[in-house]
Amino acid sequence: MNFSEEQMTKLKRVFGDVKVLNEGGVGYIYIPNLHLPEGCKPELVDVLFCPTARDGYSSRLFLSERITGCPTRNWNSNVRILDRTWHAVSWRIPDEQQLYETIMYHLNAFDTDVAA
Amino acid sequence: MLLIPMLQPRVVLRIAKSLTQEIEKDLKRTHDFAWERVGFSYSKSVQLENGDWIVTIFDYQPVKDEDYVPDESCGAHINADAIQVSLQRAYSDHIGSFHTHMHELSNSPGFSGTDIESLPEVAMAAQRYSKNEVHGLLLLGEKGLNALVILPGSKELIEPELVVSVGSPLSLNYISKPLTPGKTDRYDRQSFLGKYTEDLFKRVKVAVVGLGGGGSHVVQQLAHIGFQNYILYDSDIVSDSNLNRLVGAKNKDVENKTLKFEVSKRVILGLQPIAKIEGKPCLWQEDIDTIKGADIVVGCVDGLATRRDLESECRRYLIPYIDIGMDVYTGYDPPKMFGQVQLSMPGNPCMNCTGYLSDEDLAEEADKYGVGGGRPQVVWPNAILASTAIGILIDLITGWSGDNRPLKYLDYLGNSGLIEESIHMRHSQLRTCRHYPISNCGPIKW
Repeated sequence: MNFSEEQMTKLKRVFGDVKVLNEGGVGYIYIPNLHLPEGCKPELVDVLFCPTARDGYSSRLFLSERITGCPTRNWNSNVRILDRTWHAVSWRIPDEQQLYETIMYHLNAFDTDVAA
Repeated sequence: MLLIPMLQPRVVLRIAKSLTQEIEKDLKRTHDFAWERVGFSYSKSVQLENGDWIVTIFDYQPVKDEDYVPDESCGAHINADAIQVSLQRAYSDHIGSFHTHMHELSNSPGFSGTDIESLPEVAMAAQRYSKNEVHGLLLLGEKGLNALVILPGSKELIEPELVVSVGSPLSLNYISKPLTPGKTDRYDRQSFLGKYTEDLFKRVKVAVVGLGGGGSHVVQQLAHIGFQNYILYDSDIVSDSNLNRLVGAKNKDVENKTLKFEVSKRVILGLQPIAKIEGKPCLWQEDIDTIKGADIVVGCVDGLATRRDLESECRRYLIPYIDIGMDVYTGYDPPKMFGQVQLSMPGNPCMNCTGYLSDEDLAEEADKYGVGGGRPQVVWPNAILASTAIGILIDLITGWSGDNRPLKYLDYLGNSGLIEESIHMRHSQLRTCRHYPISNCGPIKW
C-alpha cells in the first residue's frame, strides 16, 4: 500500500522518523518513540498505525506496550503484526482525511482530559 | 576446514519452493565458459529461546556473466566483484548470505572436495560483514538441498539439522542425521507411505493450536501415526459442555479442572511415551517464540482474526498452515452445518486470496465480539475435518498420493456429509499470493 507523499511529509513533520511497512496486503505506518499524553507510563512507546479498516474499526493504533496512568480502557494485548506483539484499546474515532489527525484522535484514548 | 555434525543447537533452513525453482532455473543456464553457475541467496535468521536457529531464505541474486573467471580446475570461478556485491548487501541490509550452486545430476547433493576447500572462506567473510546473522553455503540437487552454515560468533561451518524446501510436497532434507528406513511392526501397515516415513514422523515437529473439539482429534491421530515432536497451545480447562466432543477427556477432568493441554499430553504420551511436547497452556500469541520452530502448524481455532494472525505468522516463517473449522447455523430448518479445511502454503494463495478471510467478515466478527453463548458443536464433523487435515498433512510430508497441489481448500457440507473442493477454488485462477510475497518473509529486527 502506498501513501501520498504529501501525507507522509506531514506525518514526518509531526512525528519525526516514520516508516511504511506492509504485511498481508495492508500498509502500516511505524512511528518509533512516540510521546504519549501526560501521565502515561511509559511516556514513550513505539506505535504501529493501521490507517485502513481492521477488526471493525475504521483505523487502529497499536502500541508496543500496555499503558498505565491513562483512563481505563478495554485492552487487547495479543495482536501480532509484523513479527511483533502489539497492544490496542477499543477506541472509535471520527473518520479523518489527514493521517496525522487520525493518529491524534487515537491518542485521545490515553488522555485523562478527554472524556471516555 | 573442519566440518562437524550438528548436535546443538538445532538449525533449520527454510526456503520457498517457488524461490528454489527460480534459483534452479538460473543455475541451469549455460555460460560461455564456466561449467556451473553461482548465485547468492539471502536470509534472515532468529535464535529461539530454546537455542534453535531458524533461517528463512527470502531472495536470490545471480552472479553476473562477466564476473566469472576462466578456470578449468573447477566448475565455476567467480571474481572478487561478485563476492563483494554479496558482502555489501549482507552488510547494508543486516542479512545472511549463502553462496549458492547446483550439482545437477545429484538427487541428494553433497559438497565436493573443491567446495569444502574453497567456499567456506566466502561464508566466513560474510560473517565479518554481518555478524549477527547466519551465513553459509547452499547446494541444490535434482531432488534435494544441502547446506553448511556458520552461526554468529562461531568459527566453523556446521551441518544444519534440516533444510526444507517449502512447497507441496515439503522437501525435508535432514542433513546432519539422515533419515533411516522404518523397522517396527507398529507402523508396518502404513509402510506404503514411504521407506523413511517412520523416522520422518518421529522428527517432523507439528504445532497444534487449539486442543478442543478439532485439535483433540488432530493430536490423537498424530500420536497414532507416530509423531514424536509437538508444540501445543490451549489455555482452556475441560468443562462439562466439552465432553460431547473432546477426545481423550474424561468425566474426572471436569471435576479436576484439567487443562485441555494436559488432556492432549496424556493422549500423546499414552501412545508415544518419549514424545517431546513443547508449547504451553496459553494462547499461541503468549508464547510466540516456540511456534516458529514448527515444521507444520494446524490451526483448530475459533474466529477469523485469530486465523488471520496465525496464517500471517506462518507465512513470515515459511511454515505450511492447515486450518480447520466448522459452524452450525441454527436459524434454518433444518439447521445447516458447514466446515472447511484449508492448506495455506507460503508462496501460494493465502486465505485472503481464496476469499475465506475478508475485511467484511472480519469486521462483522469484531462487531459480535463479547456476545454470549456457546456456538453449536458436535463430535463427528470435528472428527471428519481433523481427519481430512491429517490426510493433507501426511500427504504434504510424504507426497504419497502424488497430489502436489499447493493450495487445498475443501468444504464440508454437514447436512449431506459431502466433502468437496470449495466453490471459491472452482472459479478461481489463483496462482500466487499478493498479500505475503516471499521477499517479505523472515524475522523483523525492530
